[in-house]
Amino acid sequence: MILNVQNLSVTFRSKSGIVHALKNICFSLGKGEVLALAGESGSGKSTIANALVGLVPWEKGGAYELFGEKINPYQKKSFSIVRSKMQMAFQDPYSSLNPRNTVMEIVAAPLLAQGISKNEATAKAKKMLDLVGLSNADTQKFPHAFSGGQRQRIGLARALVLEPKILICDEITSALDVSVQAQILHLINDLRSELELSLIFISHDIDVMEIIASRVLRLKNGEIS
Amino acid sequence: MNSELLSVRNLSVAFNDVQVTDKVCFDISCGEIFALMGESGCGKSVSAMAIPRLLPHPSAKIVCGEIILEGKNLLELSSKDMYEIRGKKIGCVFQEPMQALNPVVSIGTQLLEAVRFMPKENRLKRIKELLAKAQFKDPERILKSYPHEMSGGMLQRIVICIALAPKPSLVIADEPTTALDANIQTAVMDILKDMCKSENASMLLITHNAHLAAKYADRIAVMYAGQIAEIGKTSDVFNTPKHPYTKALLKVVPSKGKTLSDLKPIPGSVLSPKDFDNGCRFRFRCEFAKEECKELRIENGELRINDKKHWSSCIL
Repeated sequence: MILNVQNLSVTFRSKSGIVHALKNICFSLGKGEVLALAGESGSGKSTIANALVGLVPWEKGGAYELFGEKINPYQKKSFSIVRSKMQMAFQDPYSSLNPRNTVMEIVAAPLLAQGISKNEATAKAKKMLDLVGLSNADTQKFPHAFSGGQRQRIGLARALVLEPKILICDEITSALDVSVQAQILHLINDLRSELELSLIFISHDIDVMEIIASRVLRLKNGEIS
Repeated sequence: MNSELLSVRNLSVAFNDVQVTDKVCFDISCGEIFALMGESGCGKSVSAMAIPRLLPHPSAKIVCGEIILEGKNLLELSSKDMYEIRGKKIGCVFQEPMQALNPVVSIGTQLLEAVRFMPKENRLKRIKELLAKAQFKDPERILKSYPHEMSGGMLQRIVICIALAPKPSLVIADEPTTALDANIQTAVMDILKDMCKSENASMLLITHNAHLAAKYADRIAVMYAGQIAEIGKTSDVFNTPKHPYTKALLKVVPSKGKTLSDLKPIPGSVLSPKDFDNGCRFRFRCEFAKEECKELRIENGELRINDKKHWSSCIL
């Protein structure tokens, strides 16, 4: 197992009270596996994804192991190791890309954040954009110049440029038309074999999950059902 | 045979002088559920919203065409007459129920506004009858509630009640369940269908979801790049599609038992309205395209009114 999560709980506190978004979630992910997280809105699918990359705080008592290495989920620093091995692509291709940055700047940003030189980052970003099917001429354009499917390709390139081994796809085809959805599903499958990726695939569409996933984890009210 | 309720003939709409829909023709019979199906930007919402004349002003303009509802051409009516038609004859259910309702006005007041054309003494009775049909168990409490106190599914049921309150002859449902969770989509669609049936209203269903269209529509028009590509009975369109676009579209819809290799992506992307010409607009992505497709396609307008045959714009 390349990923092992034990007793993951997340609680949100707001003026209206406490919400137990996740309660003692335990699961693991094997090499090359596509694990689907299924459930209704609010069942906790995206919260699991956000907790794995450190975007929401864990409640006490959880344990997290990535490629055999113990990760301390209570220390912000430990997630920089996680993010070099695990990346995320988001649902809405319109709001997940900075409209003021060029495609090149967007895709090279994670490399620069990891301290890689600009020249090397540009070269790697170009290679990744080529792999997801965007041309060299596209690199200097801004996100508004692209359709939803192409923006999703940019999002995937940004997620994969650090060469992670695990990719979390958070409803990445929900905002797309069916013909574009088919293109993206094929692209993900090709990238999975080419880059030896394991996937955590979040979706509410049972038909899409059946097509892409090897195992399904069903969630209801923050618990595995 | 059912009598005709609505006839849309040769409807072309332009946004800022760029024509986005081209000679769209379809008919809806009394009591029928008719679906306009297609991908984003194909012109289904524009064609539907032209019927109650709710297109954005002044950017959108109806270039040509006729919209005949119960014998009257809606495009020739004054704004005042149209206001009455919208209140009495056409009900609309939009995608986002939260945006369709006023957040600071109680549900009861909003429902009462929808029955303003009725005699005063009948209004409350009518509202309670609708709420019961929409399967609300405690109508008194619902009437006092505000939109933020209700779930998406409940809100959409309220919007359905508002749309049907004045006993319209036509309900336009523009992606009515797209914003809802998958598990309540069917429940809301069932209520919409049953209520239209019991109120004798026809439904124009706008959807990108082939499963939804297949389950609920009596007839379907498939739209591509501003034109109707194929039109026919639901079973005919799904079982024996004629247009290459419909065939390609049905191949990319994920469904039970399909594997990834069964999903054959359609190469290329949809033309921008600026690049529209007189030929078949799908020819750039079509595996059967021939030289003559550059010049020719069968005009949708050739279909006679009340002609319910299975029709495709493809010349091949």
